[in-house]
Amino acid sequence: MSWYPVGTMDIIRLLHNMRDKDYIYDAIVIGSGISGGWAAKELCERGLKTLVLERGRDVTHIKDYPTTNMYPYEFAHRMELPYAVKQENPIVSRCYAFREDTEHFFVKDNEHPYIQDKPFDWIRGYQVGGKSLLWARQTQRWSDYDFEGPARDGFAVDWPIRYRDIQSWYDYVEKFIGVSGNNDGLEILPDGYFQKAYPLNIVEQFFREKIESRYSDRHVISARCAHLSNPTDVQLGQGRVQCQNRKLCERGCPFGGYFSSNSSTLPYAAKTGNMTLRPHSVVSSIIFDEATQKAKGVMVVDAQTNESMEYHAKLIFVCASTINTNLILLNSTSRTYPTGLGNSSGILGRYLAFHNYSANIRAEYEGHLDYRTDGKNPAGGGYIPRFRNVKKQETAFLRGYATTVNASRPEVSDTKGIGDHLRESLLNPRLGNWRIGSHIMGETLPKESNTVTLSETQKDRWGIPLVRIAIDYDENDRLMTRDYCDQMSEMFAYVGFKNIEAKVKDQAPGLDIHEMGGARMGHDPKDSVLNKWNQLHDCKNVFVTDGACMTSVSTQNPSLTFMALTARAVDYAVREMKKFDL
Amino acid sequence: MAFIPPLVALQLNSCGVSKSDWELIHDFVRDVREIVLPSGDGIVMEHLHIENFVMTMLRDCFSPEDQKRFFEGQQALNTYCRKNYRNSFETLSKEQQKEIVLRLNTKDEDLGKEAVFLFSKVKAKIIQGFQQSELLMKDMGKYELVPGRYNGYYKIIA
Repeated sequence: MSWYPVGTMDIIRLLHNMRDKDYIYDAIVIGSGISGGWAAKELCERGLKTLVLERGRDVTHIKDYPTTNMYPYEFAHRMELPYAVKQENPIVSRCYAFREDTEHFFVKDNEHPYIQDKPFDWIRGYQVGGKSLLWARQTQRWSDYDFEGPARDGFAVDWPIRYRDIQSWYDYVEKFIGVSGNNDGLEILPDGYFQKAYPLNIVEQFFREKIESRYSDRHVISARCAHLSNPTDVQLGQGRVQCQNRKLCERGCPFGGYFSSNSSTLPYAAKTGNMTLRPHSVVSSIIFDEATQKAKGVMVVDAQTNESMEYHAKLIFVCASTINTNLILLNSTSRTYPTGLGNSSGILGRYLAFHNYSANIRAEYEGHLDYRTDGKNPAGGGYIPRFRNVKKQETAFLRGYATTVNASRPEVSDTKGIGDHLRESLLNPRLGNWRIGSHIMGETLPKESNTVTLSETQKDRWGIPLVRIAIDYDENDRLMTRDYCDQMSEMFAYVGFKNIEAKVKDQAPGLDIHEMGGARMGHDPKDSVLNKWNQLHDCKNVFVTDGACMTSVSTQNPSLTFMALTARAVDYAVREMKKFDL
Repeated sequence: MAFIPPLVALQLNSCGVSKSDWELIHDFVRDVREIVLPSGDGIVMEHLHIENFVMTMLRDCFSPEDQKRFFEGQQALNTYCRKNYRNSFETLSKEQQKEIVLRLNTKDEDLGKEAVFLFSKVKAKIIQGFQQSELLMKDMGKYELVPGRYNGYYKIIA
């Protein structure tokens, strides 16, 4: 137990007859989502007494999934949201996953206000497990084509790591969480440890064969996802079983069929006996000790009582999700760091980016009408890795986009009539033509003007400054979107799809729910916040491993990379802690 | 939120107090449902309580502007019926109601533009209520809560 001077908190604790062991831990993890859950698991497994602070309520696997086994007719509005709910929540209502059966896992607009200096739809899940309950479960590894992006193309700063630094951690994470996919042998998208892939269906495969025979650098693969198609003993040992293809994931899954903190990493951490999970704990700042030039602990406001308290630890992992992590660091001011913890560079809160999801394409296909799909595909269909500007710069825009392609046949009834004919038609639907869908996932560039700052005048109900978000698209994004629409439309037409409609949506950044950056990794403490180990350059016992750490965003769904970086950073942090006094 | 109970309209007060707008809509939905989607094929439609679902959706899932159009549509329809049949829609014979509904279904705006609008929404919700009923989804197996499979190459045998 470390010595520290007797102060107010000590007196308060004495008065309340509390023991230091209630307030002192080996490690603190801020956030229990996809990154925080991994930090908790890795720290606890290594024997560290770990306090996991979650600002929202507890959600225990299965027990706290109230809607998970309900049929559509058991919902008063058949899973649509009432008009009043949509009116009160214009922001979160734009999210595809916000429905009557899932709304209890989403932050409502008026619960946690923020300031849009530029339009930004900030989608959040404030509960134990965070957005790991709600994520789309798509997982792809980064390659060096991604890590080398900033250096090659002259934006942001060079990543201080490459694929070889993270490869074994991708292996480690995939084996634990369970990922389905094929080893496709593509340089642009490294293979991994996969369970049986969810296959492309007959039309997706048809599209693939035609496209791959025409374009040597364009590949259509089974989407890789964190679903258990064939669980190993590792997942069975977590109490999870094979995914049952329900596609009701955002309700929470009683089978543990997809990866979430709730079904996997948190119970695993709890089993070690080293985890203390404290929900309703809003971290307002990290406490910096001027004397030791290290973080001492965190200030927490209890979300329900508004009581303030300090927790102390030797090691702090900040996994509060990108914008909240930026907020906490910016709000952690001290004499040494008047503009935020670790902000000697002035970079903190700058150079954020997101994924351009602003366009999609629909089409129809009249072939293969002697086939249909049976059951549901949790992977969603096909994935096309980035094919633009991979080996060299070739287009008017920098970087590129990945995309999806999925095909299905709807059941349709003729509903023009009324009476007996209508009833018969509804009882005997026929299969419509194949419908094809695709959407863009474009890499946006982290601009200095994409910022998160703190309001100087407005605070939330816990006394923490409201966050101000100023993030927007630019000309690079518009050119890229145009290229996606042109290229995919051309590919669809080539293959023989009809009624091709490309649509560019007028949507603000944020609905991608992939905002990243603000505390970027880099070689140089003068233009980055974190070093190659996700460690604050300025403060050796604080690590940031959620989306805030990302120097660039590439085209991959980012959660797998967050998990791998977290596991890697914990391993380093604990080894360093044992070697030296971090 | 998942447990918002359906809002059920009140029954007619036999002392002659005029009905509320929503009560009138409920009467219309009840009359129209039997014509749009009658019992048959072994199904007793009354058992499905589709009217309750329709009313819940009309009351909860439409904007106040659309709801105003519902009330105007109901009034326009009754105005037409009183003018041409000397009775409100509710008191017409089943045959007469069916004639009207057939015309509403073809979007005949002589009956009133908003009446056509009201009918189109009511019909859509009747269809939804039927397709998403427990009878069709669970008993007749049209919806699988737990498919447990995916086959992307399912050959249809004619």
